[in-house]
Amino acid sequence: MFKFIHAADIHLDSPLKGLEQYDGAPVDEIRNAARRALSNLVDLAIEQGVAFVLIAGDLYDGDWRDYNTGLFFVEQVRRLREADIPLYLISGNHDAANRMTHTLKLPENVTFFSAKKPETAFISDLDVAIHGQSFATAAVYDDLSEAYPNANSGQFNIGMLHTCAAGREGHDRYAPCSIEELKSKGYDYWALGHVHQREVLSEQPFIAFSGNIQGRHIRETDAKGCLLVTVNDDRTLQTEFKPLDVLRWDRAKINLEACRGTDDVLQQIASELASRHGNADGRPLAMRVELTGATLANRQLHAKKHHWTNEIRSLAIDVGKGDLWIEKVRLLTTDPASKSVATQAPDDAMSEVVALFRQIKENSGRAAELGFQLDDLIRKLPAELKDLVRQQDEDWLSEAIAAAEPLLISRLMGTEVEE
Amino acid sequence: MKILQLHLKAFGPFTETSLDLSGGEQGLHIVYGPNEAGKSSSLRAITDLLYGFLPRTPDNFLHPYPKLRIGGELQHSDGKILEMIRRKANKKSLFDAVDSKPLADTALEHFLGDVDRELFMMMFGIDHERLRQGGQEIVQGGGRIGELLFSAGAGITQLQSAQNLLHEETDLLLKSSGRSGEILDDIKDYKKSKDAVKAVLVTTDTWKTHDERFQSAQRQCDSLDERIRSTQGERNRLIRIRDATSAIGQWKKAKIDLADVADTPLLPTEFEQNSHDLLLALRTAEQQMADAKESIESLNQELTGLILPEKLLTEADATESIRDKLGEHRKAMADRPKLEIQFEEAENDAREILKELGRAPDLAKIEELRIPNDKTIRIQDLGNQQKGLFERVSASQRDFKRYRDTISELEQETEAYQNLSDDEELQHVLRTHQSEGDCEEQLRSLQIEIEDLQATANIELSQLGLWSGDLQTLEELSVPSQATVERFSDDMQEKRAEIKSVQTRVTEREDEKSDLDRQLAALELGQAVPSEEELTQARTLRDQGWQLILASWENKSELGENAENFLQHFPTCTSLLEAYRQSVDDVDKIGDQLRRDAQKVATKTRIQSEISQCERNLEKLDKELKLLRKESSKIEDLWTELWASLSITPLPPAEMRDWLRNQQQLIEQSRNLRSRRIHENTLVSRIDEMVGSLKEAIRKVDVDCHLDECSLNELLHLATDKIAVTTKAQNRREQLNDNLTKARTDLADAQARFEDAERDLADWKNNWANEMESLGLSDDAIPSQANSVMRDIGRLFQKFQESANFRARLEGIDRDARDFAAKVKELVGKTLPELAEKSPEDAVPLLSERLKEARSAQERHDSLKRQLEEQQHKLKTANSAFAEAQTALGEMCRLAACESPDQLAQAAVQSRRRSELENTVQSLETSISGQSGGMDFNTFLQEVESETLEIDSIPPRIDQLDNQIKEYNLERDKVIGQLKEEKLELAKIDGSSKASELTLQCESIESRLAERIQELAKLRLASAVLHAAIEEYRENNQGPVLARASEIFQRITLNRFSGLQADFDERGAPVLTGVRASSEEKVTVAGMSDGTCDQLYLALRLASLENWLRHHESLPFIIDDVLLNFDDARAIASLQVLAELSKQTQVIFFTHHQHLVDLAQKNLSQDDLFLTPIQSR
Repeated sequence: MFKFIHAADIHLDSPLKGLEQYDGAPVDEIRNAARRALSNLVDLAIEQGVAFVLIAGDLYDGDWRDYNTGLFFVEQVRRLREADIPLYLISGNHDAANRMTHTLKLPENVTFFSAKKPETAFISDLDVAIHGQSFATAAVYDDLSEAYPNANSGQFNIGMLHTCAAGREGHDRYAPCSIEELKSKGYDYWALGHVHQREVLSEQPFIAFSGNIQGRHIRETDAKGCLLVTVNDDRTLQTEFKPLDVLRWDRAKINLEACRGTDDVLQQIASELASRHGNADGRPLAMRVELTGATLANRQLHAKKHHWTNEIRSLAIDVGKGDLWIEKVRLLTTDPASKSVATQAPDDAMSEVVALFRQIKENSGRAAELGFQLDDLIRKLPAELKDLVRQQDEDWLSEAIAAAEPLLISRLMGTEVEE
Repeated sequence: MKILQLHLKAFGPFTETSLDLSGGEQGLHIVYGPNEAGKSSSLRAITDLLYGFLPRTPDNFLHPYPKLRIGGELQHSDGKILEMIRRKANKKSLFDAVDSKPLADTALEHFLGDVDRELFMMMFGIDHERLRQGGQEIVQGGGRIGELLFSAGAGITQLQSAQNLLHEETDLLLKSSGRSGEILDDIKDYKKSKDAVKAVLVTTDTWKTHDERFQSAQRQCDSLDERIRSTQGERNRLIRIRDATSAIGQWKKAKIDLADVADTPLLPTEFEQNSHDLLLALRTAEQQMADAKESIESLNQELTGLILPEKLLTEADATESIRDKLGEHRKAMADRPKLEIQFEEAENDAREILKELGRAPDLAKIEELRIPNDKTIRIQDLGNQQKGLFERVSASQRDFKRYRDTISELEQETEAYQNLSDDEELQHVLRTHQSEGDCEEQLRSLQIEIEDLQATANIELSQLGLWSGDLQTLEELSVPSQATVERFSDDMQEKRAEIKSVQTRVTEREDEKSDLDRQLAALELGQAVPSEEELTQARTLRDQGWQLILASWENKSELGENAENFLQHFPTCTSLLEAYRQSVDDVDKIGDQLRRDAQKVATKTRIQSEISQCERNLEKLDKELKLLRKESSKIEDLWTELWASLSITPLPPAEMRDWLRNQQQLIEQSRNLRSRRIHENTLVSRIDEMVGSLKEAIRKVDVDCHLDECSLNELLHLATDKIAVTTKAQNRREQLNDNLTKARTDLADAQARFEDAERDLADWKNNWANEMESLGLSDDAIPSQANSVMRDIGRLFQKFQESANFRARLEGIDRDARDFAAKVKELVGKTLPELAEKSPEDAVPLLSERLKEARSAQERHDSLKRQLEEQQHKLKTANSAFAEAQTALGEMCRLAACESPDQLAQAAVQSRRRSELENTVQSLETSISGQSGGMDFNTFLQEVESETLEIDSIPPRIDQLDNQIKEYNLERDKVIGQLKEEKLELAKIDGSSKASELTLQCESIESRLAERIQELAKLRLASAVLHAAIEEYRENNQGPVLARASEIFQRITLNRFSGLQADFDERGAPVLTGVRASSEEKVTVAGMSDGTCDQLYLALRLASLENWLRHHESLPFIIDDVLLNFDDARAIASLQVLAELSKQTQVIFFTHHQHLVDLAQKNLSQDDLFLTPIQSR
């Protein structure tokens, strides 16, 4: 019996995205999240006394160039070496793009698989054969698994592969392969990397993405970590997911239909935050709050979005006791009455406003005709930030329109004065 | 739609109350009731009935939420009627007329059309407050038609503020100028953070470069170490050989030389000196013996020829004594005749005095004339008393007479002073006034002082500067405190000091830098440094010299041409040895210079790095200086501001401090002036008082005195004079009395003194008569007679004594002359009888002459005897020295194996040579062993002899190796420097997470920016839409609405305005104006009164409503007391317009003003008007 760890997609020092800092935000708690997650991985390996550790690609982030990152990795590998734990690495698309991969001198307990052809490493005292091939370039579109050798009979065979498998949304289609192809090799375990969402593709043989070890933005929610695999003497195995992340991401969609005023809104949000914070295994939580539903509070919320965002953040400070970060508040609520207003003919002043908004929603070009433009802003933005203005992006624009309408109507009607 | 019934079943203050609003086709319904009748509750009830209760309604104070009920009956224009009851519930709040069956939420839609709650409240509700707001909006909006129509069309009352708020919020994010805004701040922050990342980021290439450099430096260092080690080994070996070679040559030669003198006996070191000394001693002794013998012979001859007079020599002492006394004898003989004459004169004088005294000139009887001393004194004393006694008698007689005359005069005068007047009161008044000083003078000087102070103050006030005004205003001026000025002064000074300090530091740095520049230049200009070739040449020359020295030493041959050539290189040297030493010095000097040159390079590098450090410092200081200057000017601005309220443009604080002090002084002066003026007034009244009291007192003393025009001072003088006169008379009277008493006492005294003197004179006459008798004088002899007699007797006895003295001296001289002659005669007889016939005066000198000759012969004889003894002793000593030397020399010859003492010197030289050679061999062997580097002597000897390198090429080779080692070391130092540098660089790359942390910061800013950009998009969209909506609405509705509004406006302004007209403002925007009926003049909204604006708003609202109603199902128009501020005529006109409106839609008018109800009743057709009283129950 022995154990090993399957991890992938460390993306060391890749920054957490979308976390706007604000007073009271748990800044210290999220610092160096990727590093601390890797450190957790090493801790786990040592604590569990695993026989070896596999990392199935994307150790680094492709365009991250700080050599210090590499040195930190070496330091962690040294800790493994001191515990006599070998580390098997293949490089993924990100690693291939990163010069550090080729420059950094790794301690001798690391086996780094070639990018030219699949290689096999043997661990003779355990009768284990590990097959793997690295990415040679950032974009590999060939099915690498084809060239992998068949299983060595009598040994426990593991395949390491950085792949999109049959294709996954949100991930580049690198080194695609089919589960059948993988199964055909006769291996006992396929340690896959590249897809950040943990997924078991097959139980027999065991084929899985371990997912990344630390979520990096709001689209990478839920617990992140590695698979701890126990191989029995009869070569059967059990896998167990072990969370390693130091910060978790969460989206709270909160329907405010039942709320008749902003007090109700805050109350409902508070209880939602509390319950989600309780489910984060004691980790700091970066949460996006998405408010939906037709509510009487709609115009008040839109009239002072900044104010309510801050209110929600201070709720988070109360509820989260310093480790709940409100990543963003999205107002997707609607007016309960908007339905009836939308259909009327524009011969009173207010319905003129409503009618114009309807036109913009139906035809985004109309906004420009009405004099809406952000060209001055775009000119001011540095090149890498110009993407922040997405006038051509329907979603982006309609979110702005959806927010502008209740804002304007509430201002004209003076609803916000009641607040 | 029309409300037929409103049932306030359980709502607000109402319970089961109904309002019947069904009258007329639509009808103008005036709902009226007193205050507290529940008017506002019933207003809310209409909205709540139509749109449901708000979550928090205030109308539950009587009925709790679940019990709240409003019922109603609505009639659609198509005739449909809906009866219903509204409960308070989130959903399903609508029930049928009996409150049992819920109705669909949509049941009302048909009646309400598309109008939601807010729109209903805005468009179909108007109260007094919103009318006012509407009026104000018109003014604020400048009457722009689009906005006016838009506002009125929707019942919006805050279009302006909504627009403003949108603009403000947009500007906050990004100003339309594009120059500021939170978004730009974010962009700036973002760029800054990006730069920070770049600064701490270490790329792979950076690391690789440092690592490669480190490795390469390490390799270079190792290889250099190896080269240094091997070169040093070779160098040391050659040094050993070089150092040993010459010694070995010398050693070999010394060995050969030693063989020649091996048999020579070794003699002690001092042997040669000793043999030489002994030979010298032998010769000296021989010479001394011959000299002594010759001297003895000549001395004996001279002694034999010498003769001595024995008798004369025996009496030598006596002869000398006689010769000494001869002088004394001769002098006495010469003095004798003078003494005889003096003796005779003295005796004659004595006899003469006796004759003068009238006695016989016989000196034998003079003793009876001697007067004792005490008697003489007594007579003189008495003589002296006589004159005093006579004077006392006559003086006392004179005094007596004078005193008697004085008394009679005094008694006459006293009679005159008997009656004097009393001035005590006047004195008292005068004292009191005088104690107050000179009041008039005080007053005068006070007045002058006041004038002076006033003038000075005026001048100083005009000189104060910076400010103008009179003294009093100045006093009231509120100026900054001293402390404030001090604080500014300190601040400015501090800033100035800081600036100065920074400037000083700049100067220092610049000095330092120019100094360094100079050093650098000096270094580069320094004297030429000798080259390696020069060193090699000098060494060759030195070696050449060495060869010559060796040659000269080994061969003793002529040095010849080579030496001459060598010497030519050293013109100052005369010998070969000197020249060689010079050549060695030259080599050393050049070598030293070369070494110094290496230091110069190092120095230059150091200076250059110091220069760049200086420049960096200078830059930093420059920045600091700019900042300080800015701060300084800020303080100066604050300073100016401080004085602004006094309309003073201040000078620097130090000068303003002076100004403040001057101002303070002026204030002080002003106060001073005031106090003086008060004092002046006091003085004037006091003077008046004093004049009164003085006049009264003077009149008491002198009733007739004329006082009316007198000043205080004149009065004071007058009083003083009066008192002085009186006082003087009193004093005189007292004095007279005193004098009289004294004169009487004196008279009595004078009489007593006269009687005393008479008595003393009688006593004296008696005594005097007795004494004169003893001197042979009469009773009445005067004292000077007595004195003359006594003097003559004294002189007599003096002369007599003199004559006795002269006689004694003559007898002494004669006795001495006799003794001298006897002694001379005796001596001549003993010694030289041939002189017996000569007088003592002649014989004595001859005797003395002969004695002198005899003494000289005696001395010569003694000297010869002593010389003879000396020579005999010398001869004896020389004999023994000679023998001693002979014996010692014999012994030395034996030691040196010589036949005669002459050979001894040669033997010593030989011995010394042997010993020297032995030492040389020994020391060379030691020296060679020292060079062998621990090798056995013979092995080392073999190694040296087998060395293939020419002995002459060894030293250059060693130098070559030395240089090589030096170069290697220099190179190694450089490499080690690189090694350290790279190691440091690599150590800096420590796996730090700084870059990733800073990147997180960038992400944070990016997120914030994204959020703000979306916000900006939202705001701009809202603005764009609003703007478009206003325009759109105006285009569609301007014509009909304005036409109707114009009509209404004309009516409710009672034709003051003939209507409304569109016009353009100065920017070309369409604006609304009112046309004045009287003058056709167009009045902008700014020119209308508040009331007119309210009426304009009402006109626009009503016209818009009518316009809207043309296309829509009607809804009741709810009015809450809007006519409060209208005068009766306008209120009637407005009510009439409303009555017209009620033809199109139901109008419900709430009021609690009975008077409006009355107006309506009086002026409206009863067909249109329906009154509904309201009273809560």
